Amino acid sequence: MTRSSSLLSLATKSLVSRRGTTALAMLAIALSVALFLGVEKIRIGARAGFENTISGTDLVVGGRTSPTNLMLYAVFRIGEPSNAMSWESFQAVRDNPAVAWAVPISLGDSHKNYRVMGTTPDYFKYYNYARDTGLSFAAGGPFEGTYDAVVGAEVARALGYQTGRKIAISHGLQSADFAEHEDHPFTIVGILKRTGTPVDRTVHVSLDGLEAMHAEDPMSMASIRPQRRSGMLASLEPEKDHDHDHHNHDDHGHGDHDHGEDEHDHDSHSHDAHDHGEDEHDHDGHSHDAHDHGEDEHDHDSHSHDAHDHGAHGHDGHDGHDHHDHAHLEPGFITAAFVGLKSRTTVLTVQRDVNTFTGEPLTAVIPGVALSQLWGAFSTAETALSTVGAFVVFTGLLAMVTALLTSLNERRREMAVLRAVGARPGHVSALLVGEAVLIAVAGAVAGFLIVYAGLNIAAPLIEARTGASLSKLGPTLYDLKIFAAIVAAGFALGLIPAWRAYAHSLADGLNMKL
Amino acid sequence: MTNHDDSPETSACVRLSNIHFGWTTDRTLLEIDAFHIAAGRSVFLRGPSGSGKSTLLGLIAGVLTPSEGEIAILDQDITKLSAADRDRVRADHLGVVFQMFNLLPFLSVLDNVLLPCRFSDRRRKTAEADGESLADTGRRLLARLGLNEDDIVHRAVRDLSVGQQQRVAAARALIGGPSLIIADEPTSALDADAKDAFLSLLLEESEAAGAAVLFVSHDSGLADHFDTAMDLRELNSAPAQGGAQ
Repeated sequence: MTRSSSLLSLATKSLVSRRGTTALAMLAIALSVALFLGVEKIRIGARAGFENTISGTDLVVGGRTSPTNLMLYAVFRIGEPSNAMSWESFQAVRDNPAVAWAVPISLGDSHKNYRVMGTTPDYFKYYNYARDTGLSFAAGGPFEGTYDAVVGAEVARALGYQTGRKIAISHGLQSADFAEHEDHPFTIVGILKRTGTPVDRTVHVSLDGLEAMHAEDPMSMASIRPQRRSGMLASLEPEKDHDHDHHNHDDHGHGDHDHGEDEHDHDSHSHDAHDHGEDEHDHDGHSHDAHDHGEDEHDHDSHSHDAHDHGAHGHDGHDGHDHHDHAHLEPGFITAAFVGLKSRTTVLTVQRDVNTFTGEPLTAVIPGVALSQLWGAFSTAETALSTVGAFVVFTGLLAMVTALLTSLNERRREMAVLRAVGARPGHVSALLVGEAVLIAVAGAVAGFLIVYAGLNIAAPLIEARTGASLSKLGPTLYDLKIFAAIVAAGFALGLIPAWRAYAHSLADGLNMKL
Repeated sequence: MTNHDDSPETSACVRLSNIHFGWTTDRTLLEIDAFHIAAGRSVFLRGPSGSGKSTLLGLIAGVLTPSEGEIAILDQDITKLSAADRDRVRADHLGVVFQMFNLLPFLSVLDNVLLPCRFSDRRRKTAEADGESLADTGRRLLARLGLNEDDIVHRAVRDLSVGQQQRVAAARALIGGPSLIIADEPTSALDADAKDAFLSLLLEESEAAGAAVLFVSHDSGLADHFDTAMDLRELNSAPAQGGAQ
């Protein structure tokens, strides 16, 4: 209506005439809104980045452990190794008729503090992140040979790697340079594009290569495995006697290593007894004097899994799982498997099948569900952040209300004039509410612009450094809701000065209170 | 403007009957048996401050309601109307000039003059019909009241002299053909020359517009300019007492 648009134009002109206080009130709101929105963007971005870590994988399967632990270790490469699962179990899962594909992964080694993950070339085909975005190569391609490696973008950037570069893998997770198998360098054949996920910080090698390496080095795996206990270590060792840990091995003809994994009391590290079960070699230990084992290793290249001979390393130890020496490099144990189903509708069925697998205790996790649960752990912090942000905005709006209330006394004459020309008390109130809303809108718009401008400037930098795409942080429906909420709050708080003005204009009538 | 109302010249623009008003129920401040202003006539009402002038103006303007009695504006009893409807009557039919600070500082001179048109469609339509456009009518009114184009266009209202401000206020009161101009001590801030000049302009333009004028002042020297002069203290039969506020 003309009347309301007329009031709005009056409100605008009134605000412009008091541009000093108006600008300050807007600034207070703009900054508070920018802070709130910025925090929300970061919060949402963090959550999205987190939830985008894995996609397209219907189940993550590993040895029996908690879903959280399995996800943290298998997907985020954080924390303690989870229990390993045997290759037979993996095969059983893979052969489940509902399963379309299954990619084994084996963790436990490192390269210059980056985790090394053994897997198959299928990994590059099936591992998706961020809503079905596949992995792609910045250079090179998937590995083909046993000692091929593919590094994540962050690894390549931080270490300055290019394809063709030879790298050595350390046993265990704490890298000690001297522990590396220098004799068995892996060759980088591919560099992945940035994904913003833990993939960026991972060195991918073929499962075969990992097995071969461990075979040569009796200790190595051991080291790793200790913790995983039964699982992995065991696995590898048996067949491949991966205990390369040169540690102590000086002596050990690998034979010596009769490490029951059990022994893996890493603590022991007293490698004095070089006879230790590899286990002991807790990574720390790896005093790879070892490298003498060279011999063994070399064989591997040939893939003659001599290893098996190493059978010696009695895997007996393996808590029970004595695996069998499978054909060559087939690992005895893997850390986990990523599984894709032919139909998502069967996911619960397959999950149950895996969880009740009779061969060994396994855990199957639906990544989306597990990620939500994991993120749920942060929900309190999220709520706290949002709440603090909302209070900051409220404070900004209160500054505006204060400014309007303060202006009221000196504006009583204006109110009387407006009343005299026919304004109702309601019009006077509407004028003040209009001013409050205008300030809130202008402040919120300014705050949003600050955040968007900041994101636009920062996004390329952040994306280049972390791979986290901020593009989806642009204006969203949620932003619109925040905006509407701020304006609504401005309106509601504007009712305070409006009510005062209403009361004034009723009491004053046409009298000019000077 | 002439009367838009069909009431004949002789009919009352304002008629008060048996008005009782008090801020508290036990004390009557105003008690007026009969008071009327004929359409198009100018009335000078003398009263010292505290005599209830502001209260009387508030009653006529519809921002106050009497405890008893009838107040007819153009023969419509506004005491029976809702507050919103009284506000509409005021917007449509009344122009008000205060002693000072009549103008909204954040509006231009012209926008101040056109302000009543924001609250009354009737005033806006009448003003539009009076000239080529609303703004044209406003400018012509200002010009007749002695404000030149330069004053109107280029000066902020707070840069105008008090005399100019009062003339802008008069133009605002007159725009859109109101039936009654209420002027509350509009000349008290003016010097003697400006006072006479203002009064003459106000009365001329009111007459030209066909609007009645109710002029309230404590300055009896101005009474000669008006058709009728009376004293509020004679009109008010309530016992004399302190200020209205």
